[in-house]
Formats: sequence, structure tokens, C-alpha cells
Amino acid sequence: MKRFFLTLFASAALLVPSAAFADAVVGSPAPSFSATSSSGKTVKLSDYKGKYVVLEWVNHQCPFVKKQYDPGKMQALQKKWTGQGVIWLSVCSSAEGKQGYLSAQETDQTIKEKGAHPSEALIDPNGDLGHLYGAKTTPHMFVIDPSGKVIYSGAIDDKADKNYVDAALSEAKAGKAVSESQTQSYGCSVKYR
Amino acid sequence: MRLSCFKFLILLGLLIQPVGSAPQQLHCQADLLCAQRALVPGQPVRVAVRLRPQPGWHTYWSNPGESGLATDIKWQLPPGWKASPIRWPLPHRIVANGIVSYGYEGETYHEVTLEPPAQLSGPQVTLKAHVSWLACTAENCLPEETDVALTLAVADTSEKSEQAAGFDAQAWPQAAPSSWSCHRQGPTLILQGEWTGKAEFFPADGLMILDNAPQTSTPRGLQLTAATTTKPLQRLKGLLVTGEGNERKGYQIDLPILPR
Repeated sequence: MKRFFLTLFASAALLVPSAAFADAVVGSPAPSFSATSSSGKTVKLSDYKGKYVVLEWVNHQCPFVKKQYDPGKMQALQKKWTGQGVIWLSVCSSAEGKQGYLSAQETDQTIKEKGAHPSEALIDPNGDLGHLYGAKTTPHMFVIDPSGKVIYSGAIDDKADKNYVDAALSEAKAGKAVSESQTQSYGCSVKYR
Repeated sequence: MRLSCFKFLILLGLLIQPVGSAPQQLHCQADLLCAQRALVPGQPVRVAVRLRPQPGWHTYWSNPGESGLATDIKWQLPPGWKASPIRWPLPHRIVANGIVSYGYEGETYHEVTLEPPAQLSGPQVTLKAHVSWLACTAENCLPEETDVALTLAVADTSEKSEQAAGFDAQAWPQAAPSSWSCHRQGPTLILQGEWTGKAEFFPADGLMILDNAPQTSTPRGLQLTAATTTKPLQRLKGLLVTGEGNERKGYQIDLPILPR
């Protein structure tokens, strides 16, 4: 009887529709999370209280991500800001078997190959972190200030010379309000489960 | 033929390659079409970049939605010519893995009105454009591009071309009646107008409504969920599409958002 109910429950769980999207709202506290890094560590947003945190959604098979990585632009940005004490978290929410999914080992290897400089690479194949933040595209960027408030959400750049993340961090660190705090992100859709 | 001559010809053949990269495997066929047979100096002319995606592939509307990229046309026209922005046919909602986009799975005419100068030299004019688009399936996206061109005779008058029927068969948006309105109640935007049956709103950009929230038809109008924005939303801009299939009609919306 117990097995019957367990089976029923398990089957019902499969029928649950894919998770709804929440949102990381500019001006509001960033949603707290706990995620697994490529080194097997549990990473929590609360670990980084008092620091700027950047969340970067990535899929290395996506042409828009390649456009940032192939000329070394994203890596240079990561290096610049981690060098100034910013915590940079790359997140991959591709489901297993879908485009862009990388195992922990493959993630570390890719980071090495591309010369990337994230503080941690988070592997989110269940899509929990992606859904929590409302990540829709790769790339999709969020910047959180030392008080835990979201100060930027949206695209990496204006498809030309303006890098929104670089601008947001520069302005915030200079004590100014972020002039463009919310933009429509663009890119490939995140390959959720 | 002597062997050395033959070898020379083979070598020559190998050297005469088309300039530029190897032919790409595009997932859309792109053509430049014109609604009239000839070009008349000073008279605006309707042209279109027609994209035909392969089965399973789609391209995007001017607002691609939560992911994707709109098709872009860069004209290479002789001096004095002007090109209007793209006139987009009614898009469709494309949902994959819970992510909502707006685009086209079938043949799509991206219409542009070109204005020739008052004087056209020569018996003909070649119109050229560089077209770029994002071709996607649910699993994969590929940025693609190609050049399209069309050479047309210059004449004093012109009649419709055979292609004109294709232009007119597309589902084009029309102006909305002036009686329509939009009110806000908390996070809900209510678009009120006269229509019956199915209705769907396509926002002009991504910072207006929650694209993946349900749109509910009520007697008070179509209920949309406003996006959370840093600045308060002043206007509702986009397309209200009613009906289904060949009966679809699209109305251009640009309304102030009024308090309830």
C-alpha cells in the first residue's frame, strides 16, 4: 500500500507543470538562494553580504554568448571586476541533455579553455536559480549591491559599445545611482527542463 | 588538346572561385520583392524582404519577446532614395521551455516603403539590402544573414506586379478605434475595446507586461499583468490581435495608461 502511494506521488510529481518564473526586481532585495558550484561547494547569496555580486547566465553554445566570449570581452569584464572585489557568479540553467549543459568537470574545463574569471560557476540543471531570478536569455545579467539590493537587471550591452554591467558597477562604486538599471535582455532562450 | 593546355585550364578553373565565404546553409530563404512592375521617379513603392523559414524554424517580430532577436534590414540604395521602417505582419506567440517569444514560423513579408528621388537616371535601378535575422528552433539559435537585390526598370507609370497579391495576403495591423482605452488597477492593466472572441496582446517592448503571465478576457476587457519597472509605465504600446487563423486582425495600440 505504501509503495502504491509512493508511486502515485512520484507520478503526480512528474505531472507538475514547469516552475513559474519569479523575478529579481531592480530596487528590491535580491532573492536569496543556495546553489551548487562546479567545485561541489554550496554557494549562498548570503555568503557575499557586503560585496557587489554579478550573476551571469551562460550557455557556451549560444551565438550571443559566443559573441561575448570569442573576442574575450566577457572574460576581460570578469577579470576587471573580480580584481576589484566583485563576486562574479556564472550560472548555467541548461537542463541535462539540452544545449549548453555542462557537468562540473566540463564547466571547469571550459572556464580554463576560455580564460574566464568567474568567482564561482553555478550549475543549475533543475532551473531553480534561473526561475527564481527570472533568467530568460543567455546572456542575462543581474548586479547586486553590497546591501543585497538588485541594482541592474537585463542585457549585457546595448548591442553596440555600451556594456550595461560595466556601467552599473562603475556608477555604483562611484556612489552614483545606476543610470540604466533595467533593460530588456536579449539572447537565446535558457534551455530549461 | 595538349596536356599542358589542359592542366592550365584546370588550374584556371580552380582559381576562379566566387569571392567571399563558402555558401552558408541558411535556414531561411530570403528574397526581395516589389509590389509594382516598374519604378516611377518620386513615387513611393512597396517592397518586401520575404523570409521563408524551413519547417521547425522561426524568426522574430520587432519585439522578439523574452528571447530572440528581430530581423534587421540594412538598405544599400542609390543616392536620394529613402526607406521607411519595416512594416511587420501580425506575429505569433511562440512558447518553448516556458519562455515566450513573438515571431513567425511561416513565410513572412517584411514590407518597406521606398521613396525614389524626383529624378531617376538610367533605364533601371538595382535595389539592394543586407538582411540579418535569428533563425531558431526550440533547441538552437543561429544568427544568419544574406544580401538580397532586385533590378527594376524605370518608367513614367507602373501597374501592380504579380507579387502584389502576396503583399496584400499578409495579415497587416490596422489602426485601433479611438474609443479603446487602457486602465491600471494595481499590477493589472485592462485593455478595453470592441472585439469578440479570442484576443492576444503583443507588447512593443519587453519592459511593459509580463510576457509569460496569462492574458484573461473579461467583460471589462483584456487583463494583462504589468511588468515591474523602475519608472512607472505611462503608455501601453503594441498590437492587439483578435481572431484565429486567416481571420486574425491586428490593431495598433498606443494608449495612455489611466488610473482606474
